[in-house]
Amino acid sequence: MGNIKDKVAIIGMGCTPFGDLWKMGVPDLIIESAYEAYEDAKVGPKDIEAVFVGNVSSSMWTGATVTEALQLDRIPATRVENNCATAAEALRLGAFSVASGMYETVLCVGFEKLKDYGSGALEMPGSLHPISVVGSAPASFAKSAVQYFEKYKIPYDKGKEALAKIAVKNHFNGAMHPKAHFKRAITLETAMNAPMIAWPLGLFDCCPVTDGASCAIITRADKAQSYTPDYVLIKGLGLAVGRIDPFKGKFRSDTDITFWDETWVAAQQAYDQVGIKDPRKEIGSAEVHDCFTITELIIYESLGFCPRGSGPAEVDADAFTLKGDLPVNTDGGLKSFGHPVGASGLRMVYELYNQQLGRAGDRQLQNPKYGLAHSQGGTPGMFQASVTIVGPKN
Amino acid sequence: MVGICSYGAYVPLYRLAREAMVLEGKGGAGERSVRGADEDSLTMAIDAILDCTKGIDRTSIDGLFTATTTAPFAEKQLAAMAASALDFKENVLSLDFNNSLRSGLTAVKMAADAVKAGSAKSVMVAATDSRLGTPLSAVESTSGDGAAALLIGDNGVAASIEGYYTYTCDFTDTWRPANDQFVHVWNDRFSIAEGYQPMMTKAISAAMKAFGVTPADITKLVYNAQDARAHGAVAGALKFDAKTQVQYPLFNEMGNTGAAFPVMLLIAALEQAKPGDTLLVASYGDGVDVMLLKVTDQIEKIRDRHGVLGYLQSKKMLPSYVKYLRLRHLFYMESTRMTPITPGLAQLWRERDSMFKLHASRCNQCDWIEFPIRRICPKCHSKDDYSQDRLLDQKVTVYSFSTDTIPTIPEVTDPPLGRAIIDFSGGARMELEMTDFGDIQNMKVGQPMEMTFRRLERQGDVAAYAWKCKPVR
Repeated sequence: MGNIKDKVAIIGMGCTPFGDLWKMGVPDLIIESAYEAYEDAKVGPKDIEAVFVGNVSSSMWTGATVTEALQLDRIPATRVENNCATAAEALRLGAFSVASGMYETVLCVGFEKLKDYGSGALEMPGSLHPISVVGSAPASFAKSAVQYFEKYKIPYDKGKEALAKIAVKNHFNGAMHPKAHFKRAITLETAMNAPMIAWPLGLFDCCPVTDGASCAIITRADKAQSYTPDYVLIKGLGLAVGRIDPFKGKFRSDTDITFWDETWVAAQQAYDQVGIKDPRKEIGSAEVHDCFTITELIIYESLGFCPRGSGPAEVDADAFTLKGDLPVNTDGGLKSFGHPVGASGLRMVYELYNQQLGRAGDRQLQNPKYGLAHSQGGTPGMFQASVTIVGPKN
Repeated sequence: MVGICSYGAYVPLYRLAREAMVLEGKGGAGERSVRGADEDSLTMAIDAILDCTKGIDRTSIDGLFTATTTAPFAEKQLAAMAASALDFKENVLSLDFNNSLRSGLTAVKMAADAVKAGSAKSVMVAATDSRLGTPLSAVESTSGDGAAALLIGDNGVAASIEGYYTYTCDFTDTWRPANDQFVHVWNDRFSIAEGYQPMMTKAISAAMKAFGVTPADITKLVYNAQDARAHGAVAGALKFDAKTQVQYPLFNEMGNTGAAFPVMLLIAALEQAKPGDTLLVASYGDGVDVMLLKVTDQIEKIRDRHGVLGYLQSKKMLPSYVKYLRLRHLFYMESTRMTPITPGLAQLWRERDSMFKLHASRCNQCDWIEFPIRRICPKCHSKDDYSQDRLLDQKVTVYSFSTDTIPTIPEVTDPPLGRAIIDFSGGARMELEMTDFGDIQNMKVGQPMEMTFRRLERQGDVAAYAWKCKPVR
């Protein structure tokens, strides 16, 4: 495997507000995020040589959804899909196209319009096999919570409390971001006493269904300075896709749903490229895929931030809050910022980018070091996991 | 000697107290069995056959007959669907006996004749029913849901068939038009006095004469009736001692389970029978069938079945009449708007070994077992080199579980929807729907589970069934 470190620069980023965007259609989402990035990178539509489009379910076909919205004439446009890792995938493939020398200035866009249709939670409708259950994502991850509590002998109330603390942290952070879906802090009691969604996960253990778009403009590292003095560099890119089709009810006989194997593998790929030996010390902040609180708890362990089974103790010690030694989800994460599936991966990089450039307002970290974005599509036992590491130009 | 080699039954988990079956005032005594929202006559028959075939290789059975008045399909064979799910052999003789409350015992007669004629070594007969009375009617109150299964053969006979008598009569006391979901009844002052009682006494008397037996030779007289009042009128007229010689009819514990009822009462009698006992069974509906049975010492070898009495022990009371109406889909519930999922019938057919027969692949190179069947071994990557393991009779434990409040599905008995990951004793792990689990907080990781074939709604009018798991009853 090669190494992407310091070959590609992010010179501009954009992100729509996330939320119930009743007044915005798909073209509006794309335009709002792209024009913020144009302005940031000091480029215009004519500078874009190629587009990588990430979308899961709001656009039936092709990358033309973006070329049409932005009126980009007859340029290479490719649509990619990798479930919740879709936006990260658009950035990853865009980065490879730049690193190869093929294109100089590339737009990577992720968007999702979920609120116009569907139910209040992300469905998993692709369960084509009758034996595979109809239902929503929460119940899949709830089973990980049940088994995690069982495996590490955590009493129900203590387990619920550890999960609730993660929700409280993310809402606290999200309340400070003007573009977050839920800009509201919550109390531990609110989180613990919320209505049950998928036992033992309550309402505040679950991220919302959200509309939104986010994008990045990237170029070769050696050209970045000619566009703008404010840019960050891609340091590592990892991707691991499980051997199970998540939508076919296929479960491996040895699946352990208390650890995210694909995330571990994707992280090791990225750490190797950057040369990270101790992620807990070398990563300054992480944006992780907290689709559910239990997901974030297990992510700490699967990214190597702490040993297996030690997540709840780290949560108790506030290790991953803004004041902790490794802040996680400084913008509120999926829980508070929202989760437009095909956009979230780039939204995470947007927060890391703003932290790197000192633009994170009240959430600004003293020393952002390397920033890590982690996306994870699918359900326990069958993930598409992506890890993106960015860092300063020097 | 031809007769009953094994028996099994199924009574759904749910019961409704008859006193709740009113909009105001007070209802009747006792309780009736009620099938779950994901059960029907097919699924109950499959559960009964599972009970009946404990320790028996189902591929050794030559025939499968099902008897019911409530087949879920007007065109599509129940027996063939049951044979597929239960993994009977391909050249099993399958046949449905429909439309008569008497059809269960008639099917037993036909099975016994096939064995006697030598065209089959053994035949499975399942009688199942889930009849619907109009809301607040006597039929609704006195009915119950359930299924029975008898394995008829000539090897290891636990109750030999010593005689059979049949009497056909086109008497209309209860009927259901082809385009109606509700059973209708005529005034029972006429239908018992002129129909049920004289026909039963005439047929049973004639049968005893033909068999050369008198009431003194009979240990238990077993027979069905539409309700307790009708039932009580027969034994005395035939000079049987109602207290000691009549099989208790379970009206207050289960109710009239239609075509399954006489067979279920026979199974209840067999569960309590001793070697040497003589049973006289009469089955009423469009006439009367009568069968004489002699219990053998083989009966002691099949005591581990749930049976009717066993299944009646485990139950969950429904909280209200409205809940009953919902389980029977008489109380309209709008499903959650979700993307429709209709699997192609071609796909279901291609993957039938996994999806209906519950086969896993076992790698011939490294022994790795995986469900559903994988052409490439996940462990050693050998290609198309596997054998198929049957999961259905393996022991099952639960690896993890949860509930899902998001989708509203009329076919979920006790929302929220249950989901589980289960482990089979042979090594396969499977994620699937969970049903009849009661309170999720009482479930424990590692507890024993069992498989049950149930209805699914989400596939519209496509054959909407799949295996689910439930806690062991």
